[in-house]
Amino acid sequence: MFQIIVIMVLATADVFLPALVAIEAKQDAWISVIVAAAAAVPVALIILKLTGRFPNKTLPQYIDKLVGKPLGMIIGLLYLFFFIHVTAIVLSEFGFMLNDVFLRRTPMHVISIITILAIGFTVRKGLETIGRMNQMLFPVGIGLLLITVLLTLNRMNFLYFLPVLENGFIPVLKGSMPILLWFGEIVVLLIIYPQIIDKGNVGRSIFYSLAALLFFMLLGTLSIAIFSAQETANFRYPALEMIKIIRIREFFQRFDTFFIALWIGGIYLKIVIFYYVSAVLCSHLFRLQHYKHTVFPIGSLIAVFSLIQFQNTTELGHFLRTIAPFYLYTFEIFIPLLLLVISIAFKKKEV
Amino acid sequence: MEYIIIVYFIFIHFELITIIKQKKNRDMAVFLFFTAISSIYAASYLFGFERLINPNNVIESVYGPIAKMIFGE
Repeated sequence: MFQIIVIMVLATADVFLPALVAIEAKQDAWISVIVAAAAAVPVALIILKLTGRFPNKTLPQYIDKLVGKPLGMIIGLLYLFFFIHVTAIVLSEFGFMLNDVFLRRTPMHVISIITILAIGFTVRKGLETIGRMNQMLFPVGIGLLLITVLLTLNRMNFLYFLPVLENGFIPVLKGSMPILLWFGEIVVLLIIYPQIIDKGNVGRSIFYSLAALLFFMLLGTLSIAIFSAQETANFRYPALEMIKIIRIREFFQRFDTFFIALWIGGIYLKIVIFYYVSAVLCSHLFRLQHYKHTVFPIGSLIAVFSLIQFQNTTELGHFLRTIAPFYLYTFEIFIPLLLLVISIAFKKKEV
Repeated sequence: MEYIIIVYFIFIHFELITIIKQKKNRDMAVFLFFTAISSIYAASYLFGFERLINPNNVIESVYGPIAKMIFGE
């Protein structure tokens, strides 16, 4: 559980986040990360309390009890759209980065469709396969992140983090808004919780993963110590720029090749998890016998959404920084909170 | 692109045969519904109507005013 959450969040967070946060919070990006991590604790508690009340059921299986059938169906459909849409956003991030940096002459639709076909097969194999893949990729991905920071330490100038709170606390709060939506991705627990065998340790795993994410996101903000806040805000992929400057003597260069290979693995897992959640949610919402039949139709919808929703990386960045926080908070915080309040007020839980 | 569409339809075809063999009517209905929606979206994308069917337009119309209030853009 710990590894799945860390990889799921970090796969895109450390690549896109430093630039998004630096635009608002500038050199105080590290404070934004701490604020967002602190705000993520109550979010995690809401999700854990709600899933704890219905430990063997997914959201569409118990929502009828809380809000009635018609409203339950509407909320279920909204969640289905949300998970499909978020998967498409992640696929767009993946496609744009490959298209901008490495596969410049390959059309976006080729990247999106081939990726979703491969991911569709993984999703059909189930959660255990996803977990096993995660076990292989996690140590390598985290190792690469730590090595990157170690090899760029000599280029860091921590004076770039000064002055602290130059423009007050409001830009810091604005900067923390997109970070919190990354932490809020633990909302996938609403669907995968019943499949966790060791339910007693879920709470501990979630809080360990929040602590680990705080640490790794703080490492992500170190790009400000290398390039300054102004320059980091101008980059599309600060993490990639950080890796590009690594040189050991004159013969070890262009580490970005390793980086992209591992990053593809990480983002692959993230898409797999969200895609799997969409398929399971769809099958439970419509009371199907197996989620496997929904995999390919949902996959094609994800692929098309990923192609039509953003024209370029700038549009994607703008969406993530301004619109996405409010859109994702609705599904990651407000609706679960509302359901938890109803569940407690009317004493409704799994018998 | 044409090859990808052919591969996609082959997958859909096999999946449909599996569902028909298993006689799961509800599964088949949902499967066909989502396949129809995604095919409409895919056709719109191919014919250049992507702006008309962009889900982000709906999301922006709902959350855009709040975002403008906070971020002032």
